[in-house]
Parts: sequence; structure tokens; C-alpha cells
Amino acid sequence: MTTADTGTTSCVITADFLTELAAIVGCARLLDSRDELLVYECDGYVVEKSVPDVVVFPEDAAEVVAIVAACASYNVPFVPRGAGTSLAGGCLPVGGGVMIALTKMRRILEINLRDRYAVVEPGVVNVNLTRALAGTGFHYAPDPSSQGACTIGGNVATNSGGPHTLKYGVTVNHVIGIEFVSPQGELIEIGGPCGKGNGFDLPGLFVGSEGTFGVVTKVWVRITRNPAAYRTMLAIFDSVDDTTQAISNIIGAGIVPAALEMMDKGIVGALEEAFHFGFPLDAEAVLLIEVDGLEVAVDAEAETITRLCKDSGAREVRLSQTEQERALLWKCRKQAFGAIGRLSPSYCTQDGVVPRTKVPEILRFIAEVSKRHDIRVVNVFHAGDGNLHPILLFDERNTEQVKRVMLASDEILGKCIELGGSVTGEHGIGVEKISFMNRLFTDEDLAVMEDVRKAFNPQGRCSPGKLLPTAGACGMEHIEKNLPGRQAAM
Amino acid sequence: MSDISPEQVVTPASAEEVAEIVRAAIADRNQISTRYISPSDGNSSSDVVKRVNLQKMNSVVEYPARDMTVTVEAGMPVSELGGILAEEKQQLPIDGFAPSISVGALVAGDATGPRQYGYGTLRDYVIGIEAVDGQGRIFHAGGRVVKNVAGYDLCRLVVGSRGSLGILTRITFKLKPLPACSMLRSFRFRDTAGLDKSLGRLNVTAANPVLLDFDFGAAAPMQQQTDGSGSGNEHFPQTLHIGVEGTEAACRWQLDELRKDCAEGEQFESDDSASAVEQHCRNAEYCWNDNVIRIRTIPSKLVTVASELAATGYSSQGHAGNGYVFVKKEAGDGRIRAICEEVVSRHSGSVSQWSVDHPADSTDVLSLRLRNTFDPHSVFCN
Ligand SMILES: Cc1cc2nc3c(=O)[nH]c(=O)nc-3n(C[C@H](O)[C@H](O)[C@H](O)COP(=O)(O)OP(=O)(O)OC[C@H]3O[C@@H](n4cnc5c(N)ncnc54)[C@H](O)[C@@H]3O)c2cc1C
Repeated sequence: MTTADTGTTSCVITADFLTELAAIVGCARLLDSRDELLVYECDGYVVEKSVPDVVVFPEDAAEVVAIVAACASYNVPFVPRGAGTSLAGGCLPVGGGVMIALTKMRRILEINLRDRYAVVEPGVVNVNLTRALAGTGFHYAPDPSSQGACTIGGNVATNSGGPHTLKYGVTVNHVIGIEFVSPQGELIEIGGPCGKGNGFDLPGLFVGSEGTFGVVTKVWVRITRNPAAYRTMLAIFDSVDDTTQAISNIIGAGIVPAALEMMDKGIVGALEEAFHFGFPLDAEAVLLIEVDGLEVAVDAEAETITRLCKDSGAREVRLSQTEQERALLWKCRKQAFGAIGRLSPSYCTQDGVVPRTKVPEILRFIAEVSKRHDIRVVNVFHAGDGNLHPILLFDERNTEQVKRVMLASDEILGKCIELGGSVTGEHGIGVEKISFMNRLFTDEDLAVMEDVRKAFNPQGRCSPGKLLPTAGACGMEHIEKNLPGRQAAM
Repeated sequence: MSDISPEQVVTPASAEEVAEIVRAAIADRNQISTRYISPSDGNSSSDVVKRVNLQKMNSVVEYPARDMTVTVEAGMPVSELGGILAEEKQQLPIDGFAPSISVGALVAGDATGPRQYGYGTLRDYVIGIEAVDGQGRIFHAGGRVVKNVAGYDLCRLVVGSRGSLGILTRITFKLKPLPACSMLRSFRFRDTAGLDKSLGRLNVTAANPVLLDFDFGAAAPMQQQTDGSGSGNEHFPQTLHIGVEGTEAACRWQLDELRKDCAEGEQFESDDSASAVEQHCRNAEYCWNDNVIRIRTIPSKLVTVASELAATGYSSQGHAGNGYVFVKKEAGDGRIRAICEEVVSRHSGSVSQWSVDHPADSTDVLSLRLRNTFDPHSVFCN
């Protein structure tokens, strides 16, 4: 018997409760031994850890309903989990309790090309939907770099973005309906193929609620026509300032590329070592730019972008000549995190956002912070959206260096707020950034958000300790505060 | 406005003043509304409904054009905002509204028009809000950056909430560039099979239409005729209007593609004026008329739904690409809503009417709880 504390209520995991869970999912889909549970003590954010008391793997919505109802009757907190790639501790079982892992609910239930939607279970891995659409002329647009692993349920909960969300929008722009199990154990459907109907945009509100509104069991997503043509370019610069100026000039010229990603010298070096693409190792930064659309239009756009880059000081702008070259370029970008291991034993990725025109200023600030704290920082990020991912490199065995990493991260995110931006563009608040919420929002804003949470999750049993400081203040005592460990991302 | 005395109209100049008005209304057990409420309006539960007019809150708070975002006070007229953005060759690509309405009303009403096919709806453009709830709390959500997942997305919640959750005081929009050129083409069809076939092809067209609208004439001698540009030709009872954007070369190339996609139809009335798309979108204001019944179905059911309506004598028009069908209700016509509901029940979708169906009347438990959270004293009169 173990005790869990949600901060507001304490709960006891009794043998009866475990028997009830086992009756719902069967012993094979329930983990409760310490060794097995350790795997679930954290997600992609490894700074804070907490072991759940039990992990269950439901196979359908009826099982989720029964699990949540059991949690309600025994007053046990629970947290949904997809692939566990959250970079903000979204899956952390604060105070223990039940972890509901949705990875066995991975069926694509319907693909309707004529009406441009698909219906999926929450555990469907993002890229598998696009794979299932191969050859149809359609794809699922939100493409987080983690798309080979992360689930659509997790994407809905975090409102994930990706390189191509610059043109195509983030997850909320592609979700038209959600079925979920409320914390009271009711199965609720909001929206659907015809959108929200005459009521409030509840699916829109639900997206990005980071697991605090209930457990998603089905999602209606829009599917998007594939563009007829792309042009993918690599612009090479000798100075970071020139690079950021080019970004500003492209957006300022009224061109919205499909993607506009920046990688600096540090990351390019690591990528070249890993993938041998032929990146210039002496360049200070490169831009990966893709335009898509009509065959008749993309060449003109690519030419304009090339000219704007050159006017801003680009040394060279290379156009991908083949589909293989384009695919390799994107592989490099999307797997950049894998290459970071070559630079440092540990790293910590941040997710700040600034207005796009402030990218030059924030990058100068990051360079200055890096120097002042003597922490190496490399950058690979969604430049067109102003969504930064500075990666702070360190050695977690060096406690003094870890402190400097924390200080530097805090200063960078603080500067993002000062420049009119936000502390998270796509990874979410989770537990990681709760302390920033009252720097971003007023007390009244947070009180209203707390009330909204109560409308969905009145007892706070679902994902306690997440997203809002009011809940985060409690229950955190149970979290083993480890050193920042390895953290993958972008 | 003639039947409301001037003292019942308040014109706050800031969010703080709006909050004071809300708190005073709670104390006095009055109701307030940002829209004009006539004394005969059945929705009001109090004797006095104060109208909150945001005309003094009409300024641009910030327009960093190169960030492609704009923050404005909610009282700014949409047409004025359009003019300001056009100077920077930018736009908020939302149609289907009277140009005199304020951006607050635009967002609260979730106006949508023809170009939602290519551009999406307001839920895709509102990135930050400031509003005052029914407890007089000034709250914010989102921010001024195009990508932001901090906190609950209350922006989505207020879009289309029609004033029932709060009074919007400031809104930040994400913007789009104005296209260099736009063109409109219309094709008419002799039969529904041809129309359906073309619509199927248009779903995978090589072109990139920003609007895909239809007119569907009634089969029987017309009892009802919609506004706008109904074909009115009994030999060609169905029409598609398709708009494209881009450079001139890109538009012309797309028009060639569309001609192939609409092989079963016959092109007519090619309006080559630069403002044809704009004019078409302006005409679509009818969709928001109180007398229009709005059906939302899935695009694949559109021809069936419109045909069944036509068979009962009703012509319709709407946005084929998004599954919107609009049917005009003539004075004294009590049957039409029931007919629409019957047709929709055989297929899929929903039926609504601007003046009758209000999100605040939703009876599901979540909507009720949210209403109670944002307006526990029922201070907002919808
Ligand atoms: C290498 C790497 C690259 C990344 N790149 C990106 C990127 O480009 N863009 C981006 O946005 N993110 C990125 N991320 C972050 C992460 O992948 C996303 O947040 C993703 O959406 C999480 O999905 P998941 O299935 O792993 O969810 P999890 O990590 O399991 O859960 C995330 C949150 O969702 C909740 N949740 C999960 N499933 C459900 C459900 N069914 N119902 C209710 N709540 C649920 C959890 O409680 C938690 O709060 C990256 C992460 C890594 C490790």
C-alpha cells in the first residue's frame, strides 16, 4: 500500500482499488511493480521525477471510463500519458496515483478524403496518420520533430506545432472534434466532422489543456491537401545578425514560407558530423526555407527569397535539386536533437517565443547570457514563428554548472516575456514552467483559468500539479528534484 | 436606437471602465449587452438592459506590421481595420459581415464567409484577447506572438460566444499578406450528377481555390428565392463560384485547371474585374441575415441536402467546400426550419438560425458550467 498526495487531497492505493483496475484491463495491461514503474517516473523532461503507483493500458474508451470512474470512487489522482515525449513534465504523476497510458489505443478509425477529415484513437503516432494517407494526395499537417514517436492524443493535449506550422497552423487549427472521458468518468463528445455546431468552441478550448480536462479517447482531425510543388533552400550566412535580418525581410515582404528554420554554427557542425550532408562548417548560421504551392508560383517565390537572403548578406543560397536531397535536409533538421549528444553529455532545451522581428535581439541576448554564464548554447528553431529552442549544453555531474544553466534559462525566458513573447510556443507549461505563469498572466487571468479548470475537473483529480501555479504550489514536495539531465528536443 | 433612452447607453473608454459597468450591473441587478436590445426582446431577464457601446475604444494598440500581427481595441470598426492593414498590404481574411460592425462583434459572432475555404475562420486568427467577465474580472489569454501555448486557450472559447462569457475589450490577430491578384469564375450545371462530379474533382484540384460557393435552384416553380446571384435559369439550376489568388500568372493557370475540373459545367459571366472576389464575398453578407436558416453538413452530403431542399421548393446557396447551406426564410414561412431539420437528420450536420440559436442556450453540462463560471449573475443579456 502506498500513499499519494495530490496536494489538495491524499489518496490511498488499496488492494481493492488495484483489484478493480485489474478487473478492467486485466493483469497483463497493469503495471504496479517498482521496477516496471520506474520507466514512467518522468517524460522527456527529466529534471523532476515522480513514480506513479500504477500504470494501466486501456484498449478502448469503455475501459478508460471504467478506470476513471474507479479513480473517482477511490479518490485517486490520475494522469494521461501518450508517448511520454513531453518536454515540460506534462506526464509527471505529481503525487503518484494512476497513469493511464493510451499507447494501446492506436487505431485509425476513419479516413474521409472527400470531407477532409480522419478519426483516430489518441495513441496513434503522429507520423502514422500521414503514412496511412500516403498516395491519397493528403497529409496530416502538424509535424512536430518528434512525430515519429509522439501521439495525436499528446499533440491535442499540448497543442503541438512543428516546422510546417508556420504556414499550416498548429494542432488546434486541425482538430475539429474530441471524445474524452471527463474526470467524473463520463464519455463526452465535443465537435465532430461538422465542427463545433451552434455552441461554444469546446474542442478549441480543450486543445492545449495539457491533460487537465480529461482523457482524450478519440480525435477528429482535418487532413490537408499535399502541395503540388515545393522548393527547399539552404541559405548560408557568415553572421547571425545577417541571418535574422533575412528572416525579418522575408516575413516583411509578405511571404509566408511553408517552413523557415534556423540552425547556428554549433548545431550545423554536429549535424554535419552525424549526417555528412555537406553543410559548410565555417558558416555562422543557415536557414532552411521551404516554399510550397502551385508549380507555377513556387519558382518565383524561391527567387524572391533567394534575392532577399542575398541582400541580407547570405554567402550562398542552395536549392535542393532532388527529392532525396530535400528529404535528407529535413531528416537533418528533424533529428537535430540526436546530433546534440555529440556536443555535450547533457543539454536542456528551452521553448521561448518572441515577436518575429525581435529574433535578432533575443539571439544577441542569448549569446550574451551564454558568455556571461559560461554555458555553451546552440540554436535550432522555428525562426519564421519567432519560436526559439536555445539548447544549453552542460555536464549534469557539475552541480555548479547546472545552477548556471538554470539561471541562464530563466534569464532567456524572462527576456522573451520582456520582448512581448511567451515562455512556451509548443512544449507547454507542464510542471516545468509553472513558476512563469504569474509573470505572463495577472492574478485575475489565473483565477479565471483556474475556474475554467474547475468546470472540467472540479476535484482536481485529473493531472494535478500542472499548468496553473495554484495547483502547482501543492504536491510538488513529492517530486524528487534531480539535476537537469539529458533532455532531447526541438 | 429610437426606443432606448440615451442614459441606458454607456460608452466606456477602457477595460477598467467596462469592469466597473459590469460590477455596477451586478450590484443593481441589471443586465448589460454590447448589442442593441429592444425592450420587446424576449431574451432579457431584467427590466433594464444597459447597452455597452465600445465606440470610444477604437484605437490600434499596436501594429508591428513586420510581425504580421495587430492588436486593436474591440470597438474599432472592421472596415477601418481593413483600411489600416491594406496600407501595409496585409489583411484579416474574414468575410461575411457588415463593414460597420466592430472587431469585437466580428469575433464574438465568429463571422465566416466564402474565403474560409482557403483561409480558415476566426479561430485561426485570434491569438490574444482581453475581456471582462460577468464578475467584472479583466482577463487575458494568449498574447501577441503567433505561437503560444501558455495557459488555457480562452481565445478559442470567446470566438463565437456572442457576448455570453464576457465583453471583449482588446484583440490581437494574426494577419495574412494581401494577394497580388484574385480572380473569380462561375460555372453552371444542368444536373446534380455533373455538379457532384465536379465538386469531387475540385476536392483534389491542382489549383488552390480560396472560395468554392454554390447556388442551387429549386426544382419546382420557385416558392422561395434566395438573395445574391442565384442562377435563376431552369436549364442550369446549379452554379459554382470559385475564387483563386496569387500572381496574375498563377491565377490564370488555376483558372485553366478549374475549367478542367468543372468539365460537366459551362463557364459563364466571367467577371475579370480585380474586385470580383471581393464583391462576391461582400454579397455573402446575406448568410448573417436573421431570416436565413443555416445548415452545416459535410461537403460530400451537400448536393444531396441541397437537392432535397430543392425538391421541396427551396433554393439554397452557400459554401460548398465547407458544407454550409443557407436557405432564406420568407416572412410567414413557418415550415422551413422543420424541413431543413428533417433533411439534415437523414444525412449529417446541424441547423441553426442567427436570431434563434445562441451558444448561451447550450444545455450540455460543460457549456452550463462555463456559463456559470464566466457569468454567474446572468449579467450579460444575449
Ligand atoms: C525529440 C523531440 C522533439 C520534439 N519536437 C517537438 C516539436 O517540434 N513541436 C512540438 O510541439 N513538440 C515537440 N516535442 C514535444 C512533444 O513531442 C510534444 O509535446 C508531443 O505532443 C507530446 O506527445 P506525447 O504523445 O509524447 O505525449 P506525452 O508526452 O505522453 O504527454 C504530453 C501531455 O499530454 C497529455 N496527454 C497525453 N495523451 C493524452 C490523452 N489521450 N488525453 C489527455 N491528455 C493526454 C499528458 O498528460 C501530458 O500532459 C518534442 C519532443 C521531443 C522529445
